[in-house]
Amino acid sequence: MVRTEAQELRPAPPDALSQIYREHAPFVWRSLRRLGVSEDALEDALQDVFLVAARRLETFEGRSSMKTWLFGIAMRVQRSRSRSRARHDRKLGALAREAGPAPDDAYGRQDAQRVLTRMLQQLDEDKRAVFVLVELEGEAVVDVARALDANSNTIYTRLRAARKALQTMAQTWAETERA
Amino acid sequence: MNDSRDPLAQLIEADATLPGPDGPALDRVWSGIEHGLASGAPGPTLDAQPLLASAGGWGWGVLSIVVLAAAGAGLVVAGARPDPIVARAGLMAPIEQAPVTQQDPQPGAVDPPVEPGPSVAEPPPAPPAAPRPRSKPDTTVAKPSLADEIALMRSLGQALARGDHKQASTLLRRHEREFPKGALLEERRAAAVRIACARDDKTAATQRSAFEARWPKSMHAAAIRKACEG
Repeated sequence: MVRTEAQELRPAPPDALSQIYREHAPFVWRSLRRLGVSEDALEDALQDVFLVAARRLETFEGRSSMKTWLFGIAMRVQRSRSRSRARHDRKLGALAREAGPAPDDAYGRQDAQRVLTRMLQQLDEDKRAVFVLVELEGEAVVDVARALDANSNTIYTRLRAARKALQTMAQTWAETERA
Repeated sequence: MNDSRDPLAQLIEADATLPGPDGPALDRVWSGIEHGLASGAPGPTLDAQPLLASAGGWGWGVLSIVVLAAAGAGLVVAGARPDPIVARAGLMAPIEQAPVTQQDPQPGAVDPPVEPGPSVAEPPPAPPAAPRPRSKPDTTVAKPSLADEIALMRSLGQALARGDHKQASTLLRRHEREFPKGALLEERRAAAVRIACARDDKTAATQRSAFEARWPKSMHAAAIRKACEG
């Protein structure tokens, strides 16, 4: 079915969107944070996700779950934001290096949750997304594969690689903690 | 976190209680959404690349195969996105070797058509990968990876654990040199405070204060307290 741009941009009825928002906003919030969106940008990013969802809801055919569909939007929002931020940082150049916050400032308030979030940022985007959806959110591999437009074997491969990389990091963290 | 369970499992367990947004934040965002929809302004512009690097477009697929092949040969191709940990440690099996008989919730079923992802536009056709000039030196090969940083920090932690502060100091300086903006900066600073306290360095108190101001909820607080207060 071919959709015109006007059809795709027609927002969802407020009631439908409101219900989806009430049900899934906390999940999208957590996902954005795990995908690397900083605390101070979470509200804006969450708003972007649901603005896109409102305009794309007609295209959702229910072959993946609403959660994983929203996660796909969240990935794209995070990706766009991080690219914009990278462009902005390059523009500022030396000034940003002199006066801007250190890259690790986001890790200021540490606890176990933040340790894992921080470790997730060390993974590449594919593995991070798969690990968050399957391991942390308990989504089925087959559903994640549909939502991310991949086959199940690819998801399993990413998941195994993510687990191994995170286990290495977690082991180091635990040894440092015990030392 | 003093039990002997898998550390990753402990972190995942803690993550299960990751807080979501509070009520006022949800209300603020919802107001923004309503306002955005009512204004008729165009929505955010999104990235149109496939969600998984190797899953959607043939361009990314080709790049991934090149990366995997290069990782196997001990090379890193600039411009692609290798995972330094898994590539260096040889942890990641090539996609082609992924087991075909994976457990599937619906055994025997043919994968249904894929839900088209929330892409906003078709990605532009990727140009054929141009062969990389052989004469151009690859400067990324020697760059230390996260795996190197983790290994170094592990050695530092072991030196601290056995009370070898001289070796710990040497490794600390090496980390400062090789990873000035490394991912384990907090660990390095914590180690520095512990070494300073263990050596009764006169800057120990200042270092500790600075550390605690910057990382007030650090997971290294107990270790620092132990080193500095006996």
